Amino acid sequence: MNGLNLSKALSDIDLRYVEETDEKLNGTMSGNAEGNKARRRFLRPALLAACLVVLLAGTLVAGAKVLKDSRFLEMLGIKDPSNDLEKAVITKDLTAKVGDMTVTVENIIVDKHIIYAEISTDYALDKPDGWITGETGGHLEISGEAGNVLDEHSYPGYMQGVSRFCKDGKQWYWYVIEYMDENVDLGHAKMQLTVKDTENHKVVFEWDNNYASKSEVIPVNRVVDGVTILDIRFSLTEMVIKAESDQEAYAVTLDYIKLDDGTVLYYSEYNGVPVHNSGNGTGHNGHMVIRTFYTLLSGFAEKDSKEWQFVPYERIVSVSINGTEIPVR
Amino acid sequence: MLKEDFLSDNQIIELFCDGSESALEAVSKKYGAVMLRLARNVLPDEQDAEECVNDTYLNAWQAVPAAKPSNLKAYLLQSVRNAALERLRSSRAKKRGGGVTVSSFEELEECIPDSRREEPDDNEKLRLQLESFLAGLSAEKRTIFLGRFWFSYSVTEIAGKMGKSEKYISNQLYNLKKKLRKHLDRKEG
Repeated sequence: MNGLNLSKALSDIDLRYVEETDEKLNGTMSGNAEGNKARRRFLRPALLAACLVVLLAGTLVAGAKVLKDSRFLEMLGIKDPSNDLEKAVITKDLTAKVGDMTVTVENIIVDKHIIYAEISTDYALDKPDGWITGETGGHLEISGEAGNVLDEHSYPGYMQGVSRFCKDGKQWYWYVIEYMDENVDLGHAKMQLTVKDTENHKVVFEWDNNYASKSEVIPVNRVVDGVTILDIRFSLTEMVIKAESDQEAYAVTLDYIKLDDGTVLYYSEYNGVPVHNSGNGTGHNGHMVIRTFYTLLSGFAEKDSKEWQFVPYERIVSVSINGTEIPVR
Repeated sequence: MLKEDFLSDNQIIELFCDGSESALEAVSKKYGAVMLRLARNVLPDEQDAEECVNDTYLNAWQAVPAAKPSNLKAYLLQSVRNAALERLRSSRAKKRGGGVTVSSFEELEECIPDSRREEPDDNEKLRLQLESFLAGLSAEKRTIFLGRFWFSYSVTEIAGKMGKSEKYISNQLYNLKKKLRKHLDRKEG
């Protein structure tokens, strides 16, 4: 038996599993993705007529201003914007044509190692406002390329992922770009974001970050359930647990976090809001250090609640990992 | 808009049953892109991928009237995948494994326990074991596993489609491969 034999047997599995997977990855088996293409064909003549110049490649630069866009923050589950988060949100209003679509970088949230970009398009959707889950938007691909540009200190960006949402009947994207290098501080970096459509029309948006980033590393060095928790790192929007183990395979599971007023919050990767990493991290090959990432933007809620909230990390007094509560303050 | 542009699956199947060539045009229009994409995911050569999709149209022309599949898209994708695997097998045999990148299949090969590597191919037995393995997974894990090994999507593509990080998908795949290896070993023992 070899891999091809196994693949052939896999080909012949019950088609219900294929349907289920296709539905979860591509929307629906009945052709919604293809339906998007149909709508696009409908839109194209109007857009082309409206656009005398199709920008195949271009670069836009603009300054930033402070945003008080409560609607944007509400979408992230943030009810009270009067905190540090507000300082990190900047409005861009950078607009360009990407192929036959108008694309605007609306808002950016800057954190020490991570950038969140809210991008609007003029692509019409027949949906209610809100996050779109379980289907893909096949007509615009945002490449997620980003970097500190125009000088020799260039960092490659690591694209974490993208979520789509509908706002006022138009398609919007929420992009998350993380920089794995722990020494990077994006607070005052020059940034760029490259957006492409499926026909490789592209535009590069550029801007300068202007945010005094903040972060904190809490050394732990404690063994829990056979795993050594090295440290817990906080910045404005993320919590990262670093761990290692001698075990061939091991898991780092975040049970809950506790706030200074005793509130216990649980993490969910299924809330359909921004892109999240795992609630669990799994490592293998002993001594390999793994990082498990949790967004503080809207990843946490009280038990059985769907009211996700922004968690200022200074309020976190303990973190329970693999069944052991570890004080951090 | 969707209804104006695409025939329903039942309408297409009726065209196949009537022997109308419009059936092929309708299938190509509605599912051609996704079929070609799957073929490309499996086959490194563009021409091979296109020929594989053409083979599938021919197979559909012959088989759909009798099969009357309840889900035409899944049926066609399965047909594309089988045709692509057959081409891949043939291509590997010709090239003796050289020059062909088959990363997802090589990855799947890691799941075969040593005790079964010399075992003669028994497609039906393997299929049943795979189905029992899949039945024991959560829907999310099944999606990740089949996204990688059935649809041959890259880790990056799966992460993007599911709104997860690449690291998360990689970790899940690592665990799933380990689990399948155990499952296949246990079934044998």
